[in-house]
Amino acid sequence: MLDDMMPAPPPRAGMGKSARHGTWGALEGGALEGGALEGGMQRCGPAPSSPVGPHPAAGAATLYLRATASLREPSRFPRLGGGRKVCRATRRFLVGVPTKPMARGAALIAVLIAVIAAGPRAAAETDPVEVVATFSLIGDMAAAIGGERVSVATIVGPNGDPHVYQPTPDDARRLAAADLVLANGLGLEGWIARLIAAARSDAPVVTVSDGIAPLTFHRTRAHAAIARYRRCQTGNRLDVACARGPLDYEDTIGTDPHAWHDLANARIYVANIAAALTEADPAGAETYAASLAGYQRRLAALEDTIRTVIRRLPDARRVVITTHDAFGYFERAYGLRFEALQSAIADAEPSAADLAYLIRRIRRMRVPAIFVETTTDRRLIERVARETGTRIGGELYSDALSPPDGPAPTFLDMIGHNIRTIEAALNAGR
Amino acid sequence: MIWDLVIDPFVAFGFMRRALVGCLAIALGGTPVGVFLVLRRMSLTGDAIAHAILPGAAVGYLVAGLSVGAMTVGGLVAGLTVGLLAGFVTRATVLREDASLAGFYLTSLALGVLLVSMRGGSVDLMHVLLGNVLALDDQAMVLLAGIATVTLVALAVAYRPLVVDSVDPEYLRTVSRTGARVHYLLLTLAVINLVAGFHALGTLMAVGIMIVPATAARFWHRDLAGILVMAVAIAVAASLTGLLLSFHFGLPSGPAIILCAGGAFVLSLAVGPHGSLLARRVHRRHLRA
Repeated sequence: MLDDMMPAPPPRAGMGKSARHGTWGALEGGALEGGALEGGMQRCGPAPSSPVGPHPAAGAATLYLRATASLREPSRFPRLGGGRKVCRATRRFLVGVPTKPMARGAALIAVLIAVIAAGPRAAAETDPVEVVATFSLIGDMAAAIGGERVSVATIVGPNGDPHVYQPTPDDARRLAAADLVLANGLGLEGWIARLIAAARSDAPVVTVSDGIAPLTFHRTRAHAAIARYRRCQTGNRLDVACARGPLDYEDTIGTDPHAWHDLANARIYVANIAAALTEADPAGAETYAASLAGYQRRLAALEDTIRTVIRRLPDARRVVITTHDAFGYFERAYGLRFEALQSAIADAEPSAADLAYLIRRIRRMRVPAIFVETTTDRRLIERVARETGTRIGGELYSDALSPPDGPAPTFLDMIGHNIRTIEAALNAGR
Repeated sequence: MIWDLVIDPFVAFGFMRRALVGCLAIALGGTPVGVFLVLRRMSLTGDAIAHAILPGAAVGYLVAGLSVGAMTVGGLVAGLTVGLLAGFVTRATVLREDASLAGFYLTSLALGVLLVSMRGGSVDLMHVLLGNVLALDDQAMVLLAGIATVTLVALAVAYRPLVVDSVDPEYLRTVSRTGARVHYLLLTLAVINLVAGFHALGTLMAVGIMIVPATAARFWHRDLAGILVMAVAIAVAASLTGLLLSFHFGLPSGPAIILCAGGAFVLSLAVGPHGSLLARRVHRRHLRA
């Protein structure tokens, strides 16, 4: 169960996390739980004697480092292994009995920070580049570009929804140990900035979507249509000409983060990733350039497939109805129209008006199939399918890859799976 | 005009009819239970139990996926465990009901949150747990109707001891030993109705449709029968209005329904004939004259 949440790095990623954290993980655990803490308690340093003193973090860090150092080289710190007497002030500081709650909180936080901050120093020199990607798509791209030279950890794993992820302390530890952090940007991972700050990571954070032309999110089409309907209505009368006019999306909510569905953007993503890797590990520049070129070729081939599939579809069938508004970039690039039940802001609960609008559209357009996305609640769209007598055409992967045994374990597989699913469902019954 | 605004949405769309029938079922079953909870000063008990249901439903979801059956069973087990344990502890130890309930439901809630984050799975579990009145399927409808029926029958059978235990528990204790049983029965009814409401409105909103109409009805009648009828009427009206508002103005349905009930509560509080702000003012002036 825990493995579901924190997936191991993809198979390509070379050295796994267990190898990376191996000896040091064990030492850290031991240092905190067992002897080292006692060793620390027996040392009456000046910092711990004043829990609210000016440098609690520094004090804790020093203690922590000394304690771990004493495990490595007991002879250098003879006092830590020796005396039985426990200094009360130190004990108060570490165990957390000070009378003022603020002081206790500060002490706890200081210890935590010290533990986390001590992480990167522990990393050995010859390790592969430690890359942390915020979610599965970027993790897969980084693994594909970096190959053997990088070790990729992903925060939001397969089938996870990056919009609403809740980071865990494990994530902070990985960030602290990272050499490079890759994020999508465009507002997708709202939690990443706080997480990086909390982990005290000094790894460069690269926004892989840098350089794409962002699409502004509007209201959903349903909302825009309702707004138009209201604009064109005076009292009880509807101005028909006005109601047939263009939709007004002005009410912008933000930037659409799902840029990877346009493969031209995906090319920019991988180029950014390759550049970031080259900067972090100049020795591997050739490897990165070579795998980048290969990846770009595969992207181009995939793009040809998409265009061919869509060209073969009759005009009337070029509509895809799905659960959440994640395919704006796909629509702009390839001319297939997407209509979503739910605004891309995953928290927004669809209203009866949204549902009614979508049902009317489907009835009028005689859409052959509607689609479910893997990261969203499918009950509503199933209701719509039953109410309109439309088939569920299959599952589309929009925000996350599938687990390795699923149909979309890599980014290229995912795009391929989506377009095959769409093709099969929209061509059915012709 | 009225046809377009009020009738047509239900004629044209099956999901609106389903939503309305689902809300009717909850109003018929849950709101009377809410009236008794309010009468016994246990209004917040409903909220606590709703939180306690969450982990059970989460376990059901983790085990069997998005299945009405598994989530119902899980919610029932968790809710009943917490409700009955709290009732037992209240009667067997020095702890008062609110304190024991708080202890158990917070533990249960923490367990639920833990389970939810351990999975971190494909669909955001909170969305699943929030339910959606627009997505009621056949199974959920049957469940809602069944629970409403069971509740009404149980209330009818246990009406007299329930009323006596609510208004004068000391008296009931002197003449009979049904007091504890009645108390557990009410807790059980609260749990099953919250589980039903959880499918339609989500756990938290389900408490709203249970308690808010009951508090509003208190201002309109003095006798219990009147309060019961009024509470159900307010719940039904709020459901209908909320759904229509959701339909015409694009508001999310669950909150719209509870907000309508809340509006009825504020209105009753201000101008209801019994014990409201207005009634008390008028009454006082009358005494002075």
